[in-house]
Amino acid sequence: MKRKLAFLLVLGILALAPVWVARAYSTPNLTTWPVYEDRFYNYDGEYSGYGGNSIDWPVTMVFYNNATVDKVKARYWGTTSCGTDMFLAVSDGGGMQWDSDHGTKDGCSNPTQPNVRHMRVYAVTPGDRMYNAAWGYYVLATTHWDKNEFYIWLNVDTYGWSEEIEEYVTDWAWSWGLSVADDAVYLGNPENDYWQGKHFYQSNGYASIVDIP
Amino acid sequence: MRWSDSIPLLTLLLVSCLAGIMFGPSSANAGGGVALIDSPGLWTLDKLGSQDITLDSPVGEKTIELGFELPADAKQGPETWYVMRLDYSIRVSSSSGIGAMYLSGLTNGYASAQIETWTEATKDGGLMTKWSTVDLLDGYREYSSEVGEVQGTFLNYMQTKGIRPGSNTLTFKVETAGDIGVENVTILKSSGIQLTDESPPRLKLSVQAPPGPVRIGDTIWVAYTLSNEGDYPAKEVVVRVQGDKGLELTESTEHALGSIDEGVTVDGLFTFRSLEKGSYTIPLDVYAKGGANQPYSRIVLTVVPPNRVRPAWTIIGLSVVLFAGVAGTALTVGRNRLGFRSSPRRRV
Repeated sequence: MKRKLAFLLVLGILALAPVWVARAYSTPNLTTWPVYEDRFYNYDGEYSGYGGNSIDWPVTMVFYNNATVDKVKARYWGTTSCGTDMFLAVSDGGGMQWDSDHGTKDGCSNPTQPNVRHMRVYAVTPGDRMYNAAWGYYVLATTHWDKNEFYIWLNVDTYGWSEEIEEYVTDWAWSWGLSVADDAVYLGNPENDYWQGKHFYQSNGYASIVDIP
Repeated sequence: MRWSDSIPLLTLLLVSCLAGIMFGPSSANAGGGVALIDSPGLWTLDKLGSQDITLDSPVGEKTIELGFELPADAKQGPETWYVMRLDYSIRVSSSSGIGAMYLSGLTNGYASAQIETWTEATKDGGLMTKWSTVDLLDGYREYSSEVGEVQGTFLNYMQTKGIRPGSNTLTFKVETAGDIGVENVTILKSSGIQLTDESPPRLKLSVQAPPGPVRIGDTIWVAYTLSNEGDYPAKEVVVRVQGDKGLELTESTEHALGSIDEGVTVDGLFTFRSLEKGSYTIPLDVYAKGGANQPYSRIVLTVVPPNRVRPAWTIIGLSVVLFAGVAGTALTVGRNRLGFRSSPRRRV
């Protein structure tokens, strides 16, 4: 009996192994992107000090002029209670630092809403905003779908489609009467619609910008 | 904001404008027109036609607008610079909840002042008021007060797009979020726009590297010169470099240079050892707290194999040279003994 139980336990562990094994995602395009006097990585990543073999998503949004992390999140879905932290290397002077954020989501994945939109918003900490003479007070963001995250235990969860969420975020800003420029800033992070594990990478390399007045 | 909310404010502004016109020190504004900012110095609100501006119990979003004129050639740098000065006083209620308030200063809709004030509960059940600023010269600064009294002077170089020739609008904006209770916000009449020829710190980087390919096993140096061509010290300056697997950095990746005063030049170098053949891009990045720029450089270095000289061929080569030398000497001695004389070489 004990042997059978042990066998079933091992079988169960093996069945769930794909869920538990964390996969690292990579890109050859990760680089420090200089914009005026500031710097940032053009992808966020899984831990502070990440490199090209542990990225998460391309930076697709710049909220500028009079923005802060909290002001941007408040305009969308507030700070989520169900996101995991990722990191972005940013510098507003004084060197690169690794800001973490679990983002803003339009819900937590559940049976009635398995797919949720997810945006992580970054700036130097403390401060939660950066300043330069061209963008004013600005923050950076990555965008993606979290699909079927509720069914992660069935190993059917997938993530990505950054361009779709970028468009959704800018459309929403447009509907509020904010000044929006689609794909206005090149950030050198193109990803040509392909799967890498559970991630679907989709980026034209340009970020859209939204004026937070 | 409802129209009725803004009536007291508009009245205040109207009175302020009239007072400014009647008693203000600005000759440019004395004729009743909008002030023209055309000479260096601080153009305070009272010169622009306003006195202290106070908002009582602001909730949501409130804005106040003032007009001013700039000359036809007005732009932000590199010869003249526009700096926003915001002298402010904020009173947070002792019964305030947790929340935040933003006081912004904008020109033509572009922000160059942003004071974030927020409340935090203390461990003993009290309330702490904190506020922070971010500017081009000093970056992030944070302050706190246990009595809810927030006062300060904020200076910042304005956004490039915030300056335009002709008519301009100076806007002060208050936004609240959460349950913060603000009794009043005052923008003092000593606030305004400063026109100056002093630029923010401006760092110039030049890099010198070996001009041609380097060979495996070589030790090479990448030298840099960093100078501050601005009018303020560049603070917390760091030069960072990154090696590669085939071009190994033999020392720390960072040089922390501290503060570089205006007009000062600093030299430094990084040492690498070449390990594998290939082409390597070495990034040099300069970071500094505040400032108008943070220069960088990307150097491409090519590593090639060393000149291969096998030991066996070296021995053979040396033997040939030695043999030729011995044979030549023997022949000369023999010729001399036989009576041959060598004639001196002519020089043409």
